[in-house]
Amino acid sequence: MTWADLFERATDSETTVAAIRERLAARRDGDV
Amino acid sequence: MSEADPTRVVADADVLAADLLVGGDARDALDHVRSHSWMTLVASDALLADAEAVIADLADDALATDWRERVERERAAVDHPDGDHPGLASAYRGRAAHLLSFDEGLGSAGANLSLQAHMQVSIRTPDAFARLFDAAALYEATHDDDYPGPDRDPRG
Repeated sequence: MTWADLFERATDSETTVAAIRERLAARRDGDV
Repeated sequence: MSEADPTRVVADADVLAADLLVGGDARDALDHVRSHSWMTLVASDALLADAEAVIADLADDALATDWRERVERERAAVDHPDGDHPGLASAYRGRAAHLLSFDEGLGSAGANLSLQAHMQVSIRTPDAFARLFDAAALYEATHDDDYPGPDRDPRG
């Protein structure tokens, strides 16, 4: 699996840095 | 503790996930690492697990699994105690001079002070790292010959 393949597959995610930070903070705070 | 190595980089889990799912500054920053075989991405299992969980949550499990398999092929693994901040601890244990994070407060008071007292790491946002990264200067400071240019396909 190349990085190009992974990036291509990820194009539909339509997520944002803010959503990523929120999800990571919840995980690290033990909320999930 | 030996000195931090300027060719060793840690990307916290937010940057790793954004590299895959968003692109932009995170991908620009990590492309610098992927483009040079003499740069090393350092990450603990806990750090990769955080990014993998975020990717699975915001995209899907299969993509997260394939991402984990790919990133494990090129990261330098480090261990740290459970409960340490995975980004800071990976940088400290892995002698990385750079820690990339979207959390601009990571280097301030409250974020694992006992660890930071011993650290020489520069904590930067991905856009700052991408802007300031000077491959030629770094190569020539750490090697005996002239910078040969990027030697790896960052999409490979």
